[in-house]
Amino acid sequence: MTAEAPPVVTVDKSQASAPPTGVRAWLSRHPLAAYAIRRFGLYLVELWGALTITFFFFRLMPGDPVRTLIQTLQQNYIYNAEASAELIARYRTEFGLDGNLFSQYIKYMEKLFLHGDMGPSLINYPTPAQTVILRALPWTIALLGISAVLAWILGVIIGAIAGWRRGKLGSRITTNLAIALAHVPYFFVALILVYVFAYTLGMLPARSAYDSSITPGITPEFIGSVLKYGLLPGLSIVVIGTFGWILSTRMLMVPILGEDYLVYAEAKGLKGSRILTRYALRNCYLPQITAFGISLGFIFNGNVLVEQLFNYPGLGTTLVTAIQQLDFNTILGVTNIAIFSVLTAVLLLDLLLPLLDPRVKYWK
Amino acid sequence: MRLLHAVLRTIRNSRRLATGLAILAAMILVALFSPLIIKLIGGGTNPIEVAAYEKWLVPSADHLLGTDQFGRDVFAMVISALSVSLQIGAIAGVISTVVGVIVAFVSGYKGGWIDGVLSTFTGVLLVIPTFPLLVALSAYAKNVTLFQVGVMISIFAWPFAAKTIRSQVLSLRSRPYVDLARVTKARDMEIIVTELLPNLLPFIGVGFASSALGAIFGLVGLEVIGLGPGGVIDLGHIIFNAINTGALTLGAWPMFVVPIVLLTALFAALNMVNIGLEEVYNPRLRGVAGE
Amino acid sequence: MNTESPRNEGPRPQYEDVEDVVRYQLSRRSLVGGGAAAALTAFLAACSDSGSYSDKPADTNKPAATKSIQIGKANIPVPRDQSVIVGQVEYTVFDSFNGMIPNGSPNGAGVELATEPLFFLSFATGKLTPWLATEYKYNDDHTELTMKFDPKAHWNDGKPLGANDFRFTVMALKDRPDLFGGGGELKEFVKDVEVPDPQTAVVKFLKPTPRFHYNFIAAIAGAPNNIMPEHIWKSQDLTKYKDNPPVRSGPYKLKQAIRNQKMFVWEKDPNYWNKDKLDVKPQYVIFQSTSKQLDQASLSFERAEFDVGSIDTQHATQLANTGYPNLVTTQFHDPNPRVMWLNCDPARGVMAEPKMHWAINYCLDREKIGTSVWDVKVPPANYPWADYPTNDKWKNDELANKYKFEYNLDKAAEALDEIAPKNAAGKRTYKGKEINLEIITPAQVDKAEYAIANVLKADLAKVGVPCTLRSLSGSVHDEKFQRGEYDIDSSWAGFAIDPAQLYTDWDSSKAQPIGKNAANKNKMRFRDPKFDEVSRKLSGMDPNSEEAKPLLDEALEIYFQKLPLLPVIQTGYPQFFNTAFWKGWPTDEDLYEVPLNWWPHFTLILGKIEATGQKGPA
Repeated sequence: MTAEAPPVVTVDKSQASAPPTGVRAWLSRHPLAAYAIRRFGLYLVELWGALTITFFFFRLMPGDPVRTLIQTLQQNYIYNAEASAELIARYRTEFGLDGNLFSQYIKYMEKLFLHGDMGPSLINYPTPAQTVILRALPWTIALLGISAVLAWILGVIIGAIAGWRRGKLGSRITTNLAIALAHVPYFFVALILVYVFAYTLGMLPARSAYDSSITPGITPEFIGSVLKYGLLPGLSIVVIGTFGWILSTRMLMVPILGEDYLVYAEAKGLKGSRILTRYALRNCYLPQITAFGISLGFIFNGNVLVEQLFNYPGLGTTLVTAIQQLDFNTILGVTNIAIFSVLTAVLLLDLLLPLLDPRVKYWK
Repeated sequence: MRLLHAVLRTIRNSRRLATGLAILAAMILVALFSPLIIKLIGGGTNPIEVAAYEKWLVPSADHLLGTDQFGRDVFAMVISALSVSLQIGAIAGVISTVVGVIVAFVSGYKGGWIDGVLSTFTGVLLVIPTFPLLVALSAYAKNVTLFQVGVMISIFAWPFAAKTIRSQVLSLRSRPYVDLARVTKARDMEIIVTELLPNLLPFIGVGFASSALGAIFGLVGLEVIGLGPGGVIDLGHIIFNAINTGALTLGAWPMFVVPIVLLTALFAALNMVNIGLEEVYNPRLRGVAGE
Repeated sequence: MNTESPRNEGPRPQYEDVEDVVRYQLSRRSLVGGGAAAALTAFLAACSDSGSYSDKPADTNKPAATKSIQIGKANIPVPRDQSVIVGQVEYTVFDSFNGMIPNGSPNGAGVELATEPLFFLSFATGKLTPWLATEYKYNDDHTELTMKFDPKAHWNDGKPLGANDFRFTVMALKDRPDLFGGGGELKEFVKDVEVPDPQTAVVKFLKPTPRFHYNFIAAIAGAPNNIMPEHIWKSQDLTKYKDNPPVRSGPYKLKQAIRNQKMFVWEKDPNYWNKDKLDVKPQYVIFQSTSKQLDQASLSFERAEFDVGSIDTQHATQLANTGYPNLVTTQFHDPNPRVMWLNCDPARGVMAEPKMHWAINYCLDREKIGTSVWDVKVPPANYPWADYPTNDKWKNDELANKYKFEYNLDKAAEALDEIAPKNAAGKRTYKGKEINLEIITPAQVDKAEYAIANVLKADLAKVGVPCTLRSLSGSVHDEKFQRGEYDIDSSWAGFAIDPAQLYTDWDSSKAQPIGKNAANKNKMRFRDPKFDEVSRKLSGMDPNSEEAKPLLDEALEIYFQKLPLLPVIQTGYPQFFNTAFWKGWPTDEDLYEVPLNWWPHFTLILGKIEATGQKGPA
């Protein structure tokens, strides 16, 4: 629609009446794309900010990694090498610890973004940190990923039912149980599970990721072993996670119970379960999708402890070992991977939402 | 006075809130009286000093829960640790809530780019896994006081409070009575204090409960892997000792079970308070017409 | 408890038989039940008696000695009855065996079984046993050292081992102080190494020393320097080559390292060069990290899933008291007794006075510490070294009696009254200022060194000396300690072979002012010109010679007078062995060798043990 120039004010007609051209035109015609681009820009800013904060945070920790290593060796194994100045100097350069803080930062960022190189790790010198991390990553993704998704699915379904059947005994018990147990740390459950199943009953193994006599490979034997060993750690996360999702889903479900469209559906004569799945559930699982992305960070926190407890060879145990030896490169690497994964997951979910929910509008 | 009435009425309305507050009150009472209780237990000697008694004694009339690996009375340790945990939760909760409230109000009320920056910052802190950072912080904290621990942990707990409060500030900002207050040319500060704040108290309560919970949670997590601050013996520390010394197979289950039960009760109580408050102030959660 | 398990019973109940296990567990431990009811009844029952968890009497309806043990299935890739399984620390390195770079080689993973020293010195027997080398000989003025090597020796890839490898090792390391094991004494003393024949090496020194061969003796753990194969390393970058699998000379070769199980599997080498003298019995030796949860670890030991380690003192005592038949506990004193380092620098005020040191000495209740604070009962330490038969010759009972160590608060108060009398307010002052001592320790609050310092602090308070005690973490402690910013440090000290190694550290020239990093030398700032003289003379002398004896006594006397270090207790660490599959481990009665599994001496033990014939569960 071309703009009419108001009679009093002289306006450059050519500007006002010409349709907007170029990028701006395209953007205004595709609000979704505009949103996606803006969101992606925001994502990059967040990523950079988080990486920078963590870098400086870890560098400001007191303690010198090389010296700490030598001390540990001396203490534990009566290591006789005198920590000569050359030795320490050499490794400070290797690990990027020389120069002032700012130059360390620039060098690190350069290496990371241009070469994808996180520097040599200390816990497994001279293997680069990214190799160390990539070795552990699949285990964490498997354990954490499967458990988190499972907990979400179970929790949303049970929570929806609990909310739907408000007031019934089963729903009340479930709700109260969820309130009491939703914030119990994962490792409490892990400790109890280990005690009951591994020590007392001896049915399930309490550590490692698979049976050592089986060589890793895509064989049913190996996969079976992995599942068996992953059962207890996974269960610890799933049990508590489910309670959490039950609670939040129920909180979303209850307010919409009195909505008109549900009354209408009931009046139409639709079965209860059908109303639940086709109408009610659809309206409350969407916020839960976003919430899932946000909760990944929290789940990772709990996961670290579960892995420690079960000696599971994932990112969590790698991180703790790295922190004990002040292996900056590995610590930063693990944290960065975790941050990157979570921020990316949130970004993807945010972009996915308009596809799932036509009601979502994006304002300027 | 009116405030007190309103608060009491709120509590009476929600059973969950009442239960949660009751449990909390019981724990706080025990914590307040803990020095007295410990003295009663010790009866002369200090029961939580190293080598006060023989180590690893079974529970008996003298030592209700036995002694630990250093000969300290476990019952006394648990009482004192409960008090410490509550204090840390309270300190961290208060600091987080104050900071969270300030940030939320500034960003929610002012809007614009300030809101954008602050909410992005809060969002990032909420989303990223903060545990590695917390673990790193513990490297500083080998020998710090209780108060310093509370401050440290609150650094990680404040976004929880800020997020909850901010969304409410946003919704309240557009309510009619705020516009009315604006029209009367009241200053921003006045509007915030007199109009918005009273309506937000329950949400601030929720923020406090969440951040206190998060703080204790984080601290216990740190301690279980042995990276907790030394010198501060709280429930998580006792659990760590129990795991580390294999207390269960030794038969010293009290050292292991009692702190876990107490912590679970604490988390449950805080959660109940949270949910209870939300139910009270979101009437739609409570009941639906016709039910 | 050394009773053998009866071998003529039928197949033992397997742990997969759940019911049996549950019944067994519930009956043994009446306090730990599977359910709350069991726990409650047990709790109430226990309320009536008191006693310690570990000295619970055995159940009266079960005979004590013939308790059957459940053999668990160890998670290993080789036959159980041919393996010795050792439980050890957390491993983080699995693909690298280069000890010259940080974290380049896993510690305590069995690499010591493959890496042999030139000589073994055993603290248990007191003997020096030549191994890869057959003898060493200095010339008269200690400027040359001749080493002779065993002609039978060869590397596990078949190549011969001899003087050429020795020369390569020494020359490669001496100018590389940036490598672990490089520089140091090699750089300080070595001028050149000549190889007149493949079995003889002659080291020419830059300056005389009677102690160069110490570098190649395995006394405390492995030798400071181990010989490296020239044919492998001469073409490699010493900072990058991983040496995987490691080429060494020992009776075991690496079979596999399993990262996800934290396990190393070593296999007996059929071509071992010294198998006539040392025939190791187990076909496989497995080193695995034990669980950090002691419950799990001790259960694994109980089920004989580990032969060595994986259990701690508390659980072991409990096992012994409940009649577990397969536990052998062997005590061994660590080479470093626990000591208190006392700062001698005048800048620290009253601490510079020798009388203050003696006052502190009188406040140390060694008996109580040795009985109640340490895990196991240990004897007090009166000399700053471990009580090995090899160290007997350094003792001097006359001097020890002259400067008797005793716990006597009155004598302490007496000494204090002389140097730091109480002022009007009842507080001790030194040169006008109230005294207050700063005690630090690298041990955490729940560890023994902290507890020892705590006991001392309480006793010092009784004689009017207030102290602050802090546990500092690793590097933070190191900074303060090296800079001398402390009054008393509760940790440990000792030496490998002779006291001169300790004394040379206390030379005044090595004392740095407070605030400057001491680089691990003379950390207590001991300054005594007479001591310096004696110590310098000793460093050039063979400590076993006649002329050294009076000098050693002189040094010892000055030590007793000034007390820069206070030895507290011998550090007794018990080692635990499980005799379900292997018997013949060293015991307290028959300590035929040092029982530590991360020392190369462990191979000698592996040569003496025998299989019991027990088979592992299918």
